[in-house]
Amino acid sequence: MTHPDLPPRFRAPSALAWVLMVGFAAFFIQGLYGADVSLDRLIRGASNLVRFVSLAIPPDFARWETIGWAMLETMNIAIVGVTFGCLLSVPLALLAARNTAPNAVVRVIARQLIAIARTIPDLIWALIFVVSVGLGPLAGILAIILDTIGFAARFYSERFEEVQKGPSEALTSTGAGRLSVIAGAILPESFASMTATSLYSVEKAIRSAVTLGLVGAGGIGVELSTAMRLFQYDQAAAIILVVLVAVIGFEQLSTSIRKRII
Amino acid sequence: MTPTHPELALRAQGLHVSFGDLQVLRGVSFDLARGEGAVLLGANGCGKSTLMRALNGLAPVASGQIWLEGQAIVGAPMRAVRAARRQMGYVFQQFNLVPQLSAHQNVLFGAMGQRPLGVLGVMNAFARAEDRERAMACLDRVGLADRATHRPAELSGGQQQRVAIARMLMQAPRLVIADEPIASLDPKAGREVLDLLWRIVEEEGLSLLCTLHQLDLAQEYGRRLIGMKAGRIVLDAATGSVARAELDALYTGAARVDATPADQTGAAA
Repeated sequence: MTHPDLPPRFRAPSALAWVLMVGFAAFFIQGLYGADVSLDRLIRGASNLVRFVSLAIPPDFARWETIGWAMLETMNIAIVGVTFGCLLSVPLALLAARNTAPNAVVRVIARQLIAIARTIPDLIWALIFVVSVGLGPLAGILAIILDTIGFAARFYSERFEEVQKGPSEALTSTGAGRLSVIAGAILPESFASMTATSLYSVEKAIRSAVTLGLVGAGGIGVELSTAMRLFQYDQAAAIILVVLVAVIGFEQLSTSIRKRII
Repeated sequence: MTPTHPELALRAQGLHVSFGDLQVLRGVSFDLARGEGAVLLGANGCGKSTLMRALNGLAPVASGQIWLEGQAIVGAPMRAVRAARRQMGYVFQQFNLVPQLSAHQNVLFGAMGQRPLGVLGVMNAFARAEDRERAMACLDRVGLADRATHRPAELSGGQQQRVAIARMLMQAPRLVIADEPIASLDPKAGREVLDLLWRIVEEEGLSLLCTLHQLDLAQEYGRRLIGMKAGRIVLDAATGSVARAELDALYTGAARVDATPADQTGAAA
């Protein structure tokens, strides 16, 4: 004898769920169709890839000096950009977090600024700054600053909002001012997480700084795009290897620093 | 004009506090003389904590007035509210130490409201030599001078509360508000903290308003008992004149401010 209130095995999806599923399926199929995927193209692509790899091996490190300086410039762009980006993110995040913002209007404006910095991709920031300050590393630095703000300010402000209320209240109850409470309780409590976010920003910035060169914003990307355009795939491979070593090296370093703080 | 009564440490009159539609304090009035120690009793949710937060300006008061040492606080400019807070040491149930900072630094923060530069004036690296010494002396008074560089997580609950008491000492207040200071501690540590708190309050000649959940301890430590029920004060008398049954009655029936009629009949039955 089954119980009359036994829940059914399946429930019919709601109308909204149907609309979403059909919409998704249509979009997916149209996307596949639009990309013009065919067996023929895939096979040709694979053989092109093999040709690229065979031309790229062995990598040509003859221009190692130029590549080295370009990589150094890329790191410089990343570090300088992230440093300013993170420093600017702190006040912006304080203005954007619910528990530290002076009022709702300021908070909404700060949030919008952060959202704009985040929504516009770093390559587009670089294009904008190449137009405004000209080709070279400065455009790259400015692009990284904006990109870092979009990322770091958001995570900082989320962290500020998660901070437990107690210590801040305890300092408020001693008659301390708002800024003192923020600097005495909220910032120390968020410090470890902010450091982790900042280190991750550096990793991200090194990767972006590599691609920023493709639009002329300085760094190793300029060399890479030149090598690719001149079909010097062995030189391009050398550049890609240098980038890989630099990025992986920094990731290892930042992981070990993170482990120490958290 | 309402008299300001400068001889009183604290006077609250007709305090109303609401959160949304929920009336938490429904007209609370009481006086606390200088040097007087009172224990505030009441069931969970009866409005005790809200009253204490309102006294410190942490909860917004809808109507009524609070005078601290004769100074009205409700509706006063922020500068006056901060000045009042400086006179009022607050001891919390959850200690509320900053977890990333050392015991000594946490104690130094007690003077934050008194230094013109706020946090800059009480950071260990920049603090005045006499402040650093005094913070150490406060830690010494709660018996934790040897734990000065420890972080709160490296201390037991009782030790953390003693650091919080040292922070309160550093603040050099006239009045101490202790919101269930021993509710997170085991009985032995709780008793040690109460002994310490009462000793310091007596030595410094401070006024004290302390909430407790243990009726035995309340009768043992408090000279005066104030009982709250559903957002009102229903009992206020010298400890010796209160029968145990009166205290027990605080915890039965409609004690909570958010009690529905069904709860009330259920609890009373």
